[in-house]
Amino acid sequence: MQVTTLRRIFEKIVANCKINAVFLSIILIALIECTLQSYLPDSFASHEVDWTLRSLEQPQENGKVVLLGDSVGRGIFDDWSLKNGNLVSLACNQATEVAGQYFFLKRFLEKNMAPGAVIICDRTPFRGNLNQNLTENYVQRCFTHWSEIFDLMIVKFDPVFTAKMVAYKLFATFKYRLHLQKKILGFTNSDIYSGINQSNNLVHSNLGLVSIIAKLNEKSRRETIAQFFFKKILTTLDQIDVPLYYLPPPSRIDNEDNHRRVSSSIVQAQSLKERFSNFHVMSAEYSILPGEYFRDEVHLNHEGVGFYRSQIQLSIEAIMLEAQQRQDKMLSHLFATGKEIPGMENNFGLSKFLPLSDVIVKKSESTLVVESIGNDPALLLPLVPKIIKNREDRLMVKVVVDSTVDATTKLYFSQKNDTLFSEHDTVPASITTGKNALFFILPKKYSGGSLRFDPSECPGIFELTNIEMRVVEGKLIDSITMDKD
Amino acid sequence: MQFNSFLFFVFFTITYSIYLCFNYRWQNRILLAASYFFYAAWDYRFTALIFFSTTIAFVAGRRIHNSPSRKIQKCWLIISVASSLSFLGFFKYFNFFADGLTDLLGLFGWGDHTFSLKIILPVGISFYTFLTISYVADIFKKKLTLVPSFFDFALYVSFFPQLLAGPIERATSLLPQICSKRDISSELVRKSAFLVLYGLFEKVVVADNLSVLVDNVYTGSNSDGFNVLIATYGFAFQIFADFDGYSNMAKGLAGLMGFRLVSNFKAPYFSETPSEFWSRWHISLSSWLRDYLYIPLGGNRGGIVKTARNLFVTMLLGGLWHGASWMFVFWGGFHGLLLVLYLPLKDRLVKMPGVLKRILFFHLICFGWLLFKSQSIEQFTHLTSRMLFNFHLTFAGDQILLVEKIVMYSSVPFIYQYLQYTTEKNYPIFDWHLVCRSMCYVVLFYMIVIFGSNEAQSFIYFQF
Repeated sequence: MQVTTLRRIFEKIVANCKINAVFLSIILIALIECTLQSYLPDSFASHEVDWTLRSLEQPQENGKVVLLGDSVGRGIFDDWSLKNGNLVSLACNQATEVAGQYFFLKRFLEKNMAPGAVIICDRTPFRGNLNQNLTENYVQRCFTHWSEIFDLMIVKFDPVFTAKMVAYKLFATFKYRLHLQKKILGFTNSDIYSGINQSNNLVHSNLGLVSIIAKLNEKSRRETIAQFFFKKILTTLDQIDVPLYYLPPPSRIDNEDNHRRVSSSIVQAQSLKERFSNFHVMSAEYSILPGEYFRDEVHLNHEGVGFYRSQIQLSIEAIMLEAQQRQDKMLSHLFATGKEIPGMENNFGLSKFLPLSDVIVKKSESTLVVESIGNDPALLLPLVPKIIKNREDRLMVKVVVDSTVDATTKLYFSQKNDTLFSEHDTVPASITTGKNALFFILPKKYSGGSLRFDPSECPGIFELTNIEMRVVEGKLIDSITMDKD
Repeated sequence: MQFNSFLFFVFFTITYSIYLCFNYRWQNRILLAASYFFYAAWDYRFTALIFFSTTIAFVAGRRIHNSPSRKIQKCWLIISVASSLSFLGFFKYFNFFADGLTDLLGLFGWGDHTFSLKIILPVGISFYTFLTISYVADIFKKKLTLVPSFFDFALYVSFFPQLLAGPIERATSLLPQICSKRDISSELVRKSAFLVLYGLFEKVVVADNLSVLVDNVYTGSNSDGFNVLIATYGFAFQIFADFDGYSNMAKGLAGLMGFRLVSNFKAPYFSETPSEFWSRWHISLSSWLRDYLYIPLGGNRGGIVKTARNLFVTMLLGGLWHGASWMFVFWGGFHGLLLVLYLPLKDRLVKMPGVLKRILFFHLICFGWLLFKSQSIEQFTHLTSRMLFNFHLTFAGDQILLVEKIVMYSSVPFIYQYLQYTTEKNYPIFDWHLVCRSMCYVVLFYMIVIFGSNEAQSFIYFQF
């Protein structure tokens, strides 16, 4: 009886399986895609927007000032050693438009503390409705967080645009298809930068109903998509009380079209100043430079960059200094509001630090002198107990250090009390020559475990005079970091 | 709006979701609205033209049906066919004949006259013109009863899966399906989903990628004869994959909505004779031409000479149907000639081994494709002379790469045709084990996603 029943069930399953070959394929595809979602970005991030987004998955080393903008802005600020530290450059190709810059900023704020200031250096921050040829490759393909898809769906109001973003979100193989094509001999080898060209995808007449609806949709907009997202940047920064500076980039003397665009951008920026108190236009006039300073119609060459930097250096350094002060103030205030941890007050841990590598440690009563003798100096602070009780609260570590070099320090954290640390689990900060008060806010996933302090990535002498830990309320941290992890 | 676009994906998803929620009467209205939207997506002005053609054919059909007099019926048949053909003639052939007239006048020294107009060819006009003619002719021949609802008839003419490039569905086959409740069985859905997937694969992976390779060779002024030959083989598979891909998708999309459309291709490159080829290639057109042109001309009833004449005229007009160009006329003429020459040779060729016949005939078809693909007689002679007098088998890197790519892209449609031919089944895949079938779907899916051409191209038959 039982055997017969089982046979019937088996036959039924087999019969149903015949119908469900499609579902079996869907399951297979889902499994493949889930596996590749984590593998492909690591192997194939080779596109400038991809790179920037990949870098934003880790906390940034120096988050005092963030730079947004286009490739002209990026060219001006890239590798610029400034007196008060360097900027975090999120400026990218102009095809990302301001929508992309807003998403960059949002992703930055998800992983990092609020910067002291944001600079936007873009020729046309108010122009653009995401209709450029490279939009698909630079925006739709890259910004695929559900919130980003939703934001663009609302503002773009184009189901095809949204459907493509969803496809890129769900299918890693579709997202990295150009890279995959290159891996296989004989198939189409399109350029990764311009291989997906929006104009090639749909060819329809100007009198097609879809084109007409698209045009009506464009006309019905009260503001461009760029203007919409520029205001979103301002609103976001207003919420965390961070100023935004608009720096109009220089224009080539014979590029009339660019003059018009930049002038118009300045006029529009000026009009926003009244509504957003944290918004500043760095200069009411843009620089007009001779053709010899340009490598093409809009991008400055090496000499041009040098010349223009000399013009703006003082104002940028002033912004950086102000940003540093604002951030320090904010952090000190935040730390002061934190709950003291018994046994981890002032100077609790100086005597507990153990040398791990490339360091010579000299201990005294109130200081710890660390001499870095290589490129990977590290100190271990073992056995930090499980001190975070509330899941939302976070551990904040204050280290006061006197340094003989400018360097990047890192605080590694481990979930267990072992000495295995990963680059993914670090909080970076930069130090300058002289006395520094460093604040490290550990992410929510850290509740207790070993810590490793790497004072620099180069030789130098570091005199630690204080280390202190406090538990800070999650909502206070969120108000300055927007951390979602 | 092309089947291989995201726009169509969004359009079909919305339409299909709404379609499934209603009964067949409302489904027809939804499909009609969707079909007109689909057509208007290309150019809204020509919806008036299709509406006008539909109205004339509907009225003519009604008059023919209601009139007791055969003379009046014939009169309405002529009015309807003439008006349909005059639209087609004006939009498609006016400039062709006007240019011909200009050239002719030029011979007599009046070359400064020009009669050509700026005319945009309404996409799909050749297809829906044949649909309206078949409806009126079938009512006249009493093969079909009148469709009472104008909206149902309008849906027959404008049904979006087949609107732009067929298959040219007969009124006797499609109208009864429109006028009754559709049964969307799981078997039909399975087969249709496969057809959509396979059709999309044929278009975006095979046809679009082959198109780039073929065009590079055909447009290169110094292409080697060997490369031209390989590119011609490539074009044979490109045009097959392009049109079979479209037809499969049309059939699959219609099938998902419960409609059964005719198959347009049955392994045509395995044909041994010209007549077999035309019973396997673009079946809906060749059978239309047979029923509404070849047979009315007399068919094979008047002896070998008249049969040959009828075949040649039918193929010549069939060639002209493809486009207003002498090259299409020559192509039609070439196939007409093959059919005519085959008549006396039929008995002698019986003894020839099948494989040899297939290889020989495949090369004749390819020669026809060279005519079809060439933009002008100059390009055709240039390419032919390259093959005949500049043929170098160098085994150089570019030659090997071209062969490799063309073989790679053509292999799947070739193997699938072979399976269709040997099993004599339209869907040999459904005989496979569940796991093999699933793997096949997955492979097709990833081929589309990853190796689909980056430059989406229009279907070749849209221009006809």
